[in-house]
Amino acid sequence: MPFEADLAHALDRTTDSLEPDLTVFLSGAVARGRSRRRRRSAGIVAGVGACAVIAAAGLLIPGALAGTGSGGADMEPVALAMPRTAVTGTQMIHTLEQTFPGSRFSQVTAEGSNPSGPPSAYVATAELVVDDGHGAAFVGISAERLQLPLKVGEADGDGLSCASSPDHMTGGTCSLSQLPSSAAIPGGALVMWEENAADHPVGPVAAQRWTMTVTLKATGAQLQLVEWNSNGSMVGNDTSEPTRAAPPLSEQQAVAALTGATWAPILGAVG
Amino acid sequence: MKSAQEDAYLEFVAARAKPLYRSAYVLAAGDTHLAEDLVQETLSRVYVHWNRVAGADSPAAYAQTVLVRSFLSLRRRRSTAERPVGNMPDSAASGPDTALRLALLDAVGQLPPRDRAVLLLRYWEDRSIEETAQMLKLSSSAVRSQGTRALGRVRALLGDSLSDLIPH
Repeated sequence: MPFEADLAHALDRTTDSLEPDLTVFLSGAVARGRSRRRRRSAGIVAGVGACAVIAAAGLLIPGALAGTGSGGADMEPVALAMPRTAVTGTQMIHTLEQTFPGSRFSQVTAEGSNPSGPPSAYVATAELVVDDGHGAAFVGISAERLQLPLKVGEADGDGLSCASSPDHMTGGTCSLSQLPSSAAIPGGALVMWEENAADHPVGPVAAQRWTMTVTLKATGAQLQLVEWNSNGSMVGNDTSEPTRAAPPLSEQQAVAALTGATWAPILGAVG
Repeated sequence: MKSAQEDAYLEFVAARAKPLYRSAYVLAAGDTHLAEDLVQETLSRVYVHWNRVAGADSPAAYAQTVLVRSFLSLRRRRSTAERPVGNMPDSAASGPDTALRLALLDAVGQLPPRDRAVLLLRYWEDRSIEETAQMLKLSSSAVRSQGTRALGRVRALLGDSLSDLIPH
């Protein structure tokens, strides 16, 4: 049995015998929930007393508790190739900050890549909150190299097919296009642009996320930029409320940035 | 909340409390107090937004997202480290799976919070890369990278002993 299947089975075994006290959960959850509701809209008081809720729950418990853990996923085939050279976290941060000139940055984190490490170390990432004067926006980027030949239209989450774009059927948009070969991008590039709700179900003031993925066809070097129109913090059940209508970079600006001089050294190092 | 809505909420809690608690227990690396707190927090947020949640394609997936995000949010706010598993007040402290549980939770507890969340979603709950990325606000490549790293770390910690620890 592969390790990941053993792991899933072990997690099942470890948690099978847990029997949470539903009464405790309900009393706490309903009390907290009502408190939140009162804070959100003064005067709205829930209709049924907490004691009645708990008593009713007692009638619902027997036989109603379902298990979880469906046995574990097979480890996905990692379609990553070894990057040509390492990219440091500092390089990623510096380059990401250069992408938003004149802006202020906070909550900056990054991780460099290590070509001599395991495949999990092949990806360099950076994240930060950018404030360009139009509202704080959380932005993340990753740099990696895909194996050639590129599996256009087949890969899961590789930025090469709109079929893997989330909520594609529920209002999200996705487009895939190609850039011709040029001095800046020899061999051309695949460009995927997605707009999705940040949360589901989509609330009345749902934040959005925009993802720009640029993949160089000649080398497999790929940059994936994700922008939110919120500061990215997790306020309770949802992404924090939108701080702005549009992402810091539009589709045209994002593709120009990722295929321009700023990111060229990173693409060159990766592929 | 109207009576019919309250009934629907109760049914939801009755059906989902245990799966949520199991996930919370793993995320919390066996800290039952933290796990209970996470589930209460999750259910309270579901309560507040019940109309919206009830109309969702998958209220269970919504609650699971709330749980994982609450965990990550809590971990960011908390500066205190988790207590070691061996000192946990734990109602399931003894039994045939004790060695397995202690070893597994110890390994999971050594992962950074986000790696822990990726491990849970990808390798226990069978979530796709895209689903996981959306739930955790990560790029898909970051999910791949962190998932592989998390699995590698747990494998390094448990090695071949994992299958030996599972009672057959």
